[in-house]
Amino acid sequence: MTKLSLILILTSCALAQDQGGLLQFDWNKIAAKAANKVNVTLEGPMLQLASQFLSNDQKDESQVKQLIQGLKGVYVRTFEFDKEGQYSDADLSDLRAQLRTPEWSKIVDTEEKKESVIICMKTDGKLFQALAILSAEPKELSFIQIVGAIDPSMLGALSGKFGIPKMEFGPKSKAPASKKKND
Amino acid sequence: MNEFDKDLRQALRRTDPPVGFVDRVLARTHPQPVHIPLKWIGIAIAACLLLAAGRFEYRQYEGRKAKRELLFALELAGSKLNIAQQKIFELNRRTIHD
Repeated sequence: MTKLSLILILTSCALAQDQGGLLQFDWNKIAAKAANKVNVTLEGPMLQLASQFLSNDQKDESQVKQLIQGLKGVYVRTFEFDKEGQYSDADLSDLRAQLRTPEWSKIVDTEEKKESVIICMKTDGKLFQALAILSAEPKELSFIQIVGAIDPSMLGALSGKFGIPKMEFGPKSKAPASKKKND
Repeated sequence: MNEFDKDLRQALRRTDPPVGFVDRVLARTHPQPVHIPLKWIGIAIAACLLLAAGRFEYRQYEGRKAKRELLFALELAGSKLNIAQQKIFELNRRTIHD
């Protein structure tokens, strides 16, 4: 009986850790100080529902529709603060530590004055499995996670739309940039 | 035979049932059809239609909301990617000029 309980606990721990690239973080502390918060969580059925409402006739929307076919979830957390310094780097240390694990590749890490943007990707060698963007500004904090199979060519096709910059993805793309001002 | 026996025999004597008794008994043994007033059927149909319409409208609302949130997430991700890209260009430009 004890053995069975132990196995069940270990299995549930393993399942809890492997959520397909979804990073877990407790935002409550930061959210308590924020003046404005946005929390978007779109998973399985809701993503499919959103997909049904995307038009096939409009090129942009049909491309988004294709992009989200393999997605498991889209998660957005944004916080706006009245004053600077209402959250610190220490508040985000746990999240940054998760992004430093070997399964995540940091493709962009910029830090200038009091602003920083970190973009990390989790890949299986061929497809992106997850994309995480952490943008920290003195009075604004945003964290975006896109979890699931993301076809780089589809992401490339969306370049220039929805505010997504022109980027090159796929086999012909240049080596990913990883820059830091302090480097 | 005493008086008591006579009375008893009289009370328990065989008599024919009244006319129509058999039919009445048989009619009662069959289940009676339940009569639901037509207005209640109408109300039930209307309620079902209302529920279906409400469910459809709610699904439409949820779908539109999910679409809005998805496009917002993509635009936000896009704007952050843009900021990162601009910073990289700026750093590259500075590196080349320096």
